[in-house]
Amino acid sequence: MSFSPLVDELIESLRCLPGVGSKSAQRMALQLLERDRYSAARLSKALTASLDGVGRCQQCQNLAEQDICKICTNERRNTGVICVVETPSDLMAIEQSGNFNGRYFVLMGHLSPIDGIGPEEIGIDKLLRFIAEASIHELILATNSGVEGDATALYIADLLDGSDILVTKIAHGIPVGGQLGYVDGSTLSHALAGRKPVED
Amino acid sequence: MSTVTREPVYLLHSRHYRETSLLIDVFSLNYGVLRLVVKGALRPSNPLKGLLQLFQPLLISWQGRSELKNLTDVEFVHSMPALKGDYLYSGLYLNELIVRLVHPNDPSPEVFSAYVDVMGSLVEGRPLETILRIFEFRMLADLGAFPSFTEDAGSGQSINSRAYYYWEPEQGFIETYKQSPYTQKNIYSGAELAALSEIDFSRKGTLFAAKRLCRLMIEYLLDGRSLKSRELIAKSRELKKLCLK
Ligand SMILES: [Zn+2]
Repeated sequence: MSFSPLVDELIESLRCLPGVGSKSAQRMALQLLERDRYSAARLSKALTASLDGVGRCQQCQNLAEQDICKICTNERRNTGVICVVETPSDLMAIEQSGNFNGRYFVLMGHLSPIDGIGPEEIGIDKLLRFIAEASIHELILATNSGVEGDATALYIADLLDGSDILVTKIAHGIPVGGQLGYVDGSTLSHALAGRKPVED
Repeated sequence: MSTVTREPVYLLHSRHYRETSLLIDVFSLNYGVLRLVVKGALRPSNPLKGLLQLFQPLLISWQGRSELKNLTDVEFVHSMPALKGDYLYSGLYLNELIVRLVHPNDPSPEVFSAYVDVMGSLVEGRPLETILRIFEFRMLADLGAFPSFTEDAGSGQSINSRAYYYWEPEQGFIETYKQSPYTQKNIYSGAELAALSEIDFSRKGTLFAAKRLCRLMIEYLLDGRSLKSRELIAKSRELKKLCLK
């Protein structure tokens, strides 16, 4: 079924959102136009404003409203450590854990030659420049576990092989509260390989 | 083919599909290159995703008649050590080569067995150039890309070990009178062709000839598409020089 051209265009545009099929897009469009025009106007303004105002930090590639983001310019953060993540939401997850006080580098993806994503596309040149300028002593690789994330981590680690920067990788293992019997073999072997001495 | 159990495969590539699923390309012993859906793979409770790793021999099971099959189980055969540096990039290169050149849904047991062998050699850290050329030769032979190594495609005469030849796509090796095999990209001596036909790369000159020939043939088959993993290797050389400065 087809509405007017403008409504159809709105429905089609909403389908770009993750998890939104044609049915939900139609429901959303009608909700905005029929029942909640105030919110619709606010949404439209926020979208336009953020498209204009939000870019990428020139240093760490995270989403930012300034040339250099707030984390990069925060003087209370440890400038000797950089944590490499794949996406801004991975960065948020680490920030929310509250355990990390260094700076980040956001790859905005991972290496995937078959999809045409190489080192340039994820900003490896930029990362190396950042590392050189910040004179860091540790680089933490927090790419996602799994095929491409691992390849990306190995690629970066290999580039820094022979430098005096300590390259570490976050541990992957048993979830807190998890039962060993329910954990898959690969996670278990990662957890075993990354075991640590028991501390007091 | 509705249910297949414990098929030997290697994972070639995976990408996100819909909200929580993965779309994977695997290279299988009996069914060739296949695409499968791993439903719900990205949900934290799903144990399958952790097992889907590159360069690891796996046994997988799937269901479904259609073009897109559903993965139902994955087993680790045995864990292979992770590849590093040039060996890792070479592994990525081999996967890209297979995705680009091996026809999907077409059994290619000979290429599969060449892949199993080259993975073993990569893990053992054998001389890279030699093992890559052996794989490329076995793959190109199976794809039917090789012409006769014993007959001149121009004159129909036998290859003369002291003459020089160039490779012409779709035709074969044709005698040429430019006798400078080391400066010309596409010139091989008759003696080199004899060694190539035996996949004997023990001499350095032959290994270099194999490299030039494989490049040309692969480029011809790629028909203008480029291999991103080659850029990966070149870029890493360039960046490493910068890092160590
Ligand atoms: Zn920043």
